[in-house]
Parts: sequence; structure tokens; C-alpha cells
Amino acid sequence: MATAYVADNYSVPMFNIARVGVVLRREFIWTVPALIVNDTCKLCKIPGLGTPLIVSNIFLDVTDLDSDGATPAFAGSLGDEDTAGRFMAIQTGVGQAAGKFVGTGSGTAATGVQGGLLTALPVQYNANKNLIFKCTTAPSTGATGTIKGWMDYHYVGAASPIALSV
Amino acid sequence: MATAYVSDNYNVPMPDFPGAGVVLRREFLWTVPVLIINDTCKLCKIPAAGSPLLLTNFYLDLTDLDTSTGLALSLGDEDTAGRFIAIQTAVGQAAGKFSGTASGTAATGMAGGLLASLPVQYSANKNLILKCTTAPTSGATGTIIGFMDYQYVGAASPIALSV
Repeated sequence: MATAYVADNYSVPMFNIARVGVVLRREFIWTVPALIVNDTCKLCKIPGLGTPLIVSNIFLDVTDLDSDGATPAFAGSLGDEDTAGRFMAIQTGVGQAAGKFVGTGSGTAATGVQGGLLTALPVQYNANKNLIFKCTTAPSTGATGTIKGWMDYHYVGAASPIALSV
Repeated sequence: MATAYVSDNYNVPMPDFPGAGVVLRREFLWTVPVLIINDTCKLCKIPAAGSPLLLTNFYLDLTDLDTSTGLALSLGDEDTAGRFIAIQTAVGQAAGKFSGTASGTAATGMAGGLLASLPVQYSANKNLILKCTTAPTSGATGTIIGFMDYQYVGAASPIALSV
């Protein structure tokens, strides 16, 4: 049965500052077990309730989570509770081999970097959500590993005209 | 004999902030002489003693430092010369960029940061250091500009690699 994991430092409070527009960067690290389909991990909180914020960038460094070199099967996505693939649609490049997710990048599996979705960033949150990594297809030979990285966010005071609002 | 250079603005104090999690970005510029093997340059300080910090990203824009080929460069700190960028020949033999969160190739004129190298936690004072690991065949003077992102974390982070 799929498991809802949390990052190793998930319970550490998110950074806060009483200023608008100051970029806060929250780091996270997850010691990844061998994954099965529909496993999720809350990498960090998105504390948008009462103080709207903008998520503006994401970076993940992912080890090889599928040690089947010939026919790896792993697929993963990155999003939140509402939309599992909000930031990164289901993809197979990163995770079948070590690689990176970069929210502002525009890479391909060939370069070992997976870029964020078009129109996904920046995004405004007015409710409490989580940044969630999801295993959408189980690895052929699951391997333990590590995902570490960070999420950039900043408070905006008045609501921003950034279209997508969560 | 190899020389230990410092960037043009190395002695300018590093930006500081009393809150945790706020991204600080330090810019640097180095007017690069003709390099020889094992030359190093301290681009900026990593001021972590007493206040642990996370180094989360870096960016360097390099001019052509070898009008022929031969030059190889790495980027790291005092402890590990290739901590962030392993020895590579593309950027420097031609103009190009280093980016910590990218994963580029020679074809794109960009050298990406090593996997698992970022973010990294520092608890001691170090420096961001560029190293010439192979001398240029026809060395050229040039310029390196760029920046390093870091933030204080208050309590130590569980981010694994710690310096």
C-alpha cells in the first residue's frame, strides 16, 4: 500500500519574515526508501493561509531511484495536494537516473535536468498546502536514495495579480 | 609558480542578515590574468563560523581564457577543489557559464553543478575557490563575474553534507 512520507526536516518551522518581497529559501532533505506506486512525500509546507505568498522557484537534486539500468520504469511528479503534477508533469528522466528538477529550468532528460512546467511559476497560495513529490509509476528495481533541494517563496502583502491562485 | 589570487572585491564584507532563511546573494568580479596550472582564486568568503549557513546556488560567467585549448577548471572550496564543479574543459576554453542548479553540457556552453553538491551546509569559514587544474595552451586575460547564494539557518539543518 502506498505511503505518505514526509521529509526528514518537515517538522522544522518554515522561515518567516514580516516583509514583502524578501525571498525565503527553505531547504529540505528526504531519505528515500524503495518506492512503490502512489507513494508521496511532503517535502515542505507552503504556509499561505492568512499571509498570501508566492512560490517562485524549486530545486531538487535526486539520486538514482531505480537501479534497473536496462529497463527502468520509475516515473514521478511534483506538485501539491490539489494537483500532483502542478510543477512537474509525470516524467521518467530524473529518478530513473540521478538528476535535477529546476523550476525555472527548461531541460530534458538528455541533459539530466527536468524543467518546471510552462506557466507553473510563480504561483500564489492563499491556503496552507505542501510541496509534494509523487511516485506515479513504481521503479522496476527500487533503490533507496536521497532527495534534497529547496523552495523559494516570498510574502506579498496585498494579493498579487499572478493568475493562478491556490 | 602557481598564485593564490583573490577576486577584485574579495575584501568587501559579505552581506549579513539576522534572520534565518533569507537568501543573501554576493556578487564577485575577478579580472583574470593569464593562468598557469594550480592557480586559484578566492571568489568570495563563505562566512559560516559561529552561524551555520547553507550555500544554495552559484553562478559564474566566464570569458574565453584560452585562445587555443587545454585549459581545465574546477570550482570548490579549500577542502575539495571540485566540490561544486568537477574538472571540466568546456567553459574557459570558450566563453561560458557555471550554474549550480543547471546541468548543462559543453554544447550549451554551460557547466552544471555536480549532482548532490547543493545545497550544502557550512559551519566553518571557507572560500568559494576557482582552480586552474590544467594550464591553457594560449592563455588569455579575461573576466569572471557571478554570484553566490547563501542563507543563515539558525539551528543546524539536516542537509547531509556538512563542511
